[in-house]
Amino acid sequence: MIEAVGLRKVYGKKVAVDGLSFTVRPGIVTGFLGPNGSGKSTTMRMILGLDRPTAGHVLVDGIPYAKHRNPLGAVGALLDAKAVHTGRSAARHLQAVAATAGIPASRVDEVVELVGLREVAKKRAGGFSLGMGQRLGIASALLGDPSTVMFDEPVNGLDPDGILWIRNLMKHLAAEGRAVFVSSHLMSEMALTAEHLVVIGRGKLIADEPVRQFIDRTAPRGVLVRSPQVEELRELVTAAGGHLTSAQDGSFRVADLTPEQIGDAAARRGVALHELTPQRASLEEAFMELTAGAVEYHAHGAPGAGGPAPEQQTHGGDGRQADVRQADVPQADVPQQAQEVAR
Amino acid sequence: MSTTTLDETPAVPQYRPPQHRLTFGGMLRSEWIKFWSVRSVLWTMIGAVVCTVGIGALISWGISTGLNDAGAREEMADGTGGQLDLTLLALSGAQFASLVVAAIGAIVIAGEISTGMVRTTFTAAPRRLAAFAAKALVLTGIVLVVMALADLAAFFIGQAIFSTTDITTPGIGDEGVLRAVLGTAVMQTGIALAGLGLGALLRNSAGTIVTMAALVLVVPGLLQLVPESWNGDTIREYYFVNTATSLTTVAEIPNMLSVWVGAAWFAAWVAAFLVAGALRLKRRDV
Repeated sequence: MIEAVGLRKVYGKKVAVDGLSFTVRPGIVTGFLGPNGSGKSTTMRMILGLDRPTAGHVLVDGIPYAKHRNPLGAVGALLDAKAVHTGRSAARHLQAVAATAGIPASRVDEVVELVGLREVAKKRAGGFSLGMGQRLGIASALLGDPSTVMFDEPVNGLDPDGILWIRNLMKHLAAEGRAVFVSSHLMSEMALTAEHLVVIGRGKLIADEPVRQFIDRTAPRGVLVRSPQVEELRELVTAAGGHLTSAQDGSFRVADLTPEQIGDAAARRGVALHELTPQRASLEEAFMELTAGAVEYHAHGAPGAGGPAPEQQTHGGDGRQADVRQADVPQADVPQQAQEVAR
Repeated sequence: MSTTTLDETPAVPQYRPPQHRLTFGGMLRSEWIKFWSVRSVLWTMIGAVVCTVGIGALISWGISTGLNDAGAREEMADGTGGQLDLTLLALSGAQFASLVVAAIGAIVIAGEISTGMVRTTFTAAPRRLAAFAAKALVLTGIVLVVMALADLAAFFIGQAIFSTTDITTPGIGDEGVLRAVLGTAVMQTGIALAGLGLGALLRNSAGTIVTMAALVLVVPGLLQLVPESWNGDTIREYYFVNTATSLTTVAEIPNMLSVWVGAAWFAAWVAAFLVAGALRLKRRDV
């Protein structure tokens, strides 16, 4: 369980994290999303007391991390694959970490086995590939069998097998009642793993809510309809007050009507429907929409948040430009929560 | 609607981690494992021993060839107040080795900081000062024991070489001899600790080693140039490495602090390096 309250971190003149408050609850996987440079890693380091917050505080199971008598049992962290001495073997590295809290050698063997590093445990960590480095970091995080697990970009450098493995590992750890806090820039990965999201942009909180709720905040995507009776469909949609646009593959997208309204109307008129699917934004689309104004480094230097909305990023010209424009300024429609905690 | 029951806090099993406990003893064990598991540290340690014994033997041999020549013997004795300190000569290599052990002190902390290992260390042991103290203690123990053995070896090898001449060689039981030999190991340990403190301060192995070389080898020479009108003698007396001079020699050296006063000042210098490094380490983001 992690509780951050008003976390702020300033490096020189640059505000890396700005009034961040969120909670990571036990029993679920909480995804930590944000564009590059939005302050995710800084936040994670502050949780562990590696970086000192300029203001605010963060508690792990009710007390600051540094005050824990069994820190390795409180939080197991994979910060980045580089938190290892390159000249030391994986086994010795883990033994040194385990020794601080008297964790037995058998546990070291266990985690080495668990992450699949047995064959290379005697090799110097400096020669490890990115994926092996990640596995070593995960082994180190699991040593103390912690109640909170924190992974910074864990799937970086892992092969598909490794990605599947860590996805299941995280779900398994959460199911055991642990809090799992994982950052990633891979939305699809997050959509498969996380139940809850903490989203930040430019160091500020954009969302702290369940994944589903986050996605529902995006502009409506309409309903996908497929029917052999094109003309009748067009008529009934227009009559019901909806708007129909045709997609390339012969299907249609209907805006401003619910699937129920379309289905009932079609039934009354005896129009056959072959498909009726409510369209939901993917997590990736939701993320892009809701953080567009909060992206630190635009490819071609668009103006920052607070200024006019960035150049229109048209997603297929399906008549929802106005919605996109609105969503491009997250401060306008987003975080009631963020504003509440800022007080 | 139907999802309201699902949205209620689900029955999450209460997870309890195993009851391990961060202890200072554990930190010591951790530092011990870390010390011996990096090859560069191991090689530098071997280098310090080889330097102490090897250079000591070479210089002793070079001098012993001169000792057979009465004229050369007087000439050599002239520079040392009329009295040849064969203990000090046998330990010539130890003077060089002190710089090598300074490098060990620098590497064990700066190498950890530059590789990012320090984040793992401070995650496992968030009490940074305790973690640093454990590192300093382990370094002290290892350097003190290893260098004491090396210095003793250098002493006995040196005296064995000198005994091939007709000069009377000191025994380990003679007054001040054991103190000088072990004092040399203490001086080396102090310099290793100063390297540790400076490494924590500068956070970079190479920079720390160069700075230590300047402080140990260059600055004492430069201080020789300070004229008496600027209190040159006093400055030389109280300068870092010079304070340990009497501790490492059998004969009292003129214009230097006496053995124990000097040792106390030397300890203060080392403590200053360690405190500076510890404060930097405690305050800084890693």
